[in-house]
Amino acid sequence: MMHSLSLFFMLFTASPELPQKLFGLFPFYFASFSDFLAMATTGISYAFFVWLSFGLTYLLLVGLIVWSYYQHKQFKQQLAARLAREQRVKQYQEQQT
Amino acid sequence: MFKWLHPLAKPETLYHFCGKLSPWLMASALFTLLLGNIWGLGFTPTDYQQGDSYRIIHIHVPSAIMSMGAYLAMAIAAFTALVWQIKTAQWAVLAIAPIGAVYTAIALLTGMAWGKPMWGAWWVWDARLTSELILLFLYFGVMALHGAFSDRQTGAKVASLLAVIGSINLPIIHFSVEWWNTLHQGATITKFAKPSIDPSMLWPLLISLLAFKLLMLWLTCVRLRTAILENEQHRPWVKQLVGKV
Repeated sequence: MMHSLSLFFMLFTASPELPQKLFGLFPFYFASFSDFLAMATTGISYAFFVWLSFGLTYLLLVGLIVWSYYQHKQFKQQLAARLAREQRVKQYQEQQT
Repeated sequence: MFKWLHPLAKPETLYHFCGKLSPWLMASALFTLLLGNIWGLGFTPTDYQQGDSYRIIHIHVPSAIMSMGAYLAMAIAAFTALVWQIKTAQWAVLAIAPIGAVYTAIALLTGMAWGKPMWGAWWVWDARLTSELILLFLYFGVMALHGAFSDRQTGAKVASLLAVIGSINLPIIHFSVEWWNTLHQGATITKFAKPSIDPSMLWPLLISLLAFKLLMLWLTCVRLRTAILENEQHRPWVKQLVGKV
C-alpha cells in the first residue's frame, strides 16, 4: 500500500504542473460550489434527487462495510473468549485431580 | 488450467490469501469510487435533455451491472459447491449474497430517484424494474434459506440450488429492454457496439464500474474470512490464530 502511495507522490514531484494540466483537461463544470450543490445548470434543480441517490448509496455501502468488519471482529473476540474459558476450565479440572 | 486455483480450496490458505488481498482491494476500491464519483458529479458536462439529474448514472449503472455480476459470481460459486463439493465455495455463496443484495437495493433506489424527475413516477411495473426487483428477492431467498434449516449443510445446499436456478433471471434482466417495450432505456454500454455516451461522461462511469467491482471483491474477502473462521472454529489452526490475538 505504501509503495503505491509513494509512486503517486513521485509522479507529482516529477511533474509539478501535472495537477494544473489535469484540471485544464477536466475543468470543474459548475460556476461555484453552491451551483454544484444546487445541481441546476439547465434551470431545473435536481439537487434533491441527485443528493438523495448519492446519500442512500453511501449510507448503504458504509453500512455494509462497517457491518462486515464488525462481524469479523466480533466473531474473533467471541471465539477468543470461549477458548480462554475452555482453557480455564481445563486448568481448574487439572488442579482438582 | 485451473490448477493454480486448487490450493485456495484449503480454508487456511484461502483465509490468509484473502487477508493479504483485502488491504489492496480496499485502497483501490475507495480510490476509484471517490475518483469516479467526484469526476462524474462535478467534472463532466451536463446532459442537454436530462439536466444534472443524469449524474445519478454514475452510481445507478455501476451498481445495477455489478448487482448482476455479483449474482453471476455467487451462482458460479454455488455451482462449484454443488458439483465438486468444495466447502470454501459454499461459504463464498453466503459471503457474496448480502453484497449483491445491497447493490441491487442501490440500483433500485437510485433508479427510483432518477425515475421520479424523468418519468414522473417513483416506480412503474416495467419489465426491467420488475426483473431487477426479483433479483433482490432471489438474494433474500438465498440468505433466508441458508439459515432456515437446523442442519447447516442442508441449508447451504438448498441455498446454492436456488442461487443456480435463479441465474435464469440474469438474461431476463439483461434482455428485458429488448424483448419488451419498456419505459427503461436500452443499454448504453455494450461490448459489441460503440457506446451511445460521450467519452467525457463514459470515463468516470467506467471508473465507477471498476470501483463497484473492486468493492465487491474487497467485501467478499472480508466476509469470506469471517465465514471460514466460523466454520473452522474447532480446527487447530484457527485456535492458534485467535489465541494469539
